[in-house]
Amino acid sequence: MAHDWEKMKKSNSDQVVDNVDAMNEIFKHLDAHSLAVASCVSRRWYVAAMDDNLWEVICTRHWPASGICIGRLKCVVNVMGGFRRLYVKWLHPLCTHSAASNSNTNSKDLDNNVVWTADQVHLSLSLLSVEYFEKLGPFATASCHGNSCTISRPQLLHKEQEKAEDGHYGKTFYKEDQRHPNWMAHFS
Amino acid sequence: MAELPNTTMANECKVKLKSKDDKIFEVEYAVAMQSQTLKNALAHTGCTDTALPLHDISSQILAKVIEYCEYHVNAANTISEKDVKTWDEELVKHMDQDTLFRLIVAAKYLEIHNLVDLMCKTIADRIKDKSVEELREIFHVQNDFTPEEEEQVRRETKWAHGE
Repeated sequence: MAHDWEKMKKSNSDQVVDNVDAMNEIFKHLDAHSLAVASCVSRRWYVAAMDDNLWEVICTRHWPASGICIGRLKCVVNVMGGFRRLYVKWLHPLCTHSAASNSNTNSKDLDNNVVWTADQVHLSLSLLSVEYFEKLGPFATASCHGNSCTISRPQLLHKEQEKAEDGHYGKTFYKEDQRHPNWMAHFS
Repeated sequence: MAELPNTTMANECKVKLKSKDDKIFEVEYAVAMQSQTLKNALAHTGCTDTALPLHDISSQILAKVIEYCEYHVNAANTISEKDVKTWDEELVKHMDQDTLFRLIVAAKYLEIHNLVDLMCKTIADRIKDKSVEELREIFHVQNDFTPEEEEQVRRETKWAHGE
């Protein structure tokens, strides 16, 4: 069944609760755990919750206190899969692992109260980079000469450009084929 | 471009706003200034007798917005922050979801950032610590995922569901 995503995004006074911009404003006040649960409610909520800007705030809110400079890292993280990926694949598991000895701490509390150390953040970023490098597959292999491996700069910049053009995943999504049965793959 | 009224004129200037359903509201200049949108509009028109049309905002919602702005203008230097916060909490305490959402849309359009924040935090608090099913019930949202999509989403968010 085809869905008119552009119509969905547009504000409609009879369907205010489905207004994605309004949802996005609300989701800015959610922690990671609540955001993840919210993404399971419906397609609109999923799209609103997948906005990588939301996850950037969740990931970086304590970085300045840890002495980590966000500015330059932001475009690198965007190229390598985005902040949601960074959080779900690396930051959250790292934090869960390091708090494993505290049997009173559950996943939800970790999301609400965590302040990552600089080491944890750097490790997560490194792991994200390694994962990205592995995904490049043939490009990465072809660029490796002897002891040095270089990833083609135009390829990296092209990926960055794709993501930067529309601001964030959500907006890019709306421009793509909305009837594509595999629309969710865009957010993977 | 019309000049901004000087302070004396500003005190006497009344701003007229027309809701979607053609109801006219008259507010003090200082109250209108709480909205960046109105501030910009009035910078062009100056103090005018013509009502500014707000095509997407109903009279019910506009009345609430004005109530909020009037209180905050009057409270500015006279009421403690704690009491203002209490007033805000009382305002939203029994508000239904629909009104809250409509207020967010109106406040975003009018660029009243404190009001947007207040409404969003209120709804966010109602979202926290709820299950997916509870959220669908509270917000009257239909599950429009296909079974495959729902399975994928649950898989992606397994880290949040599992305890």
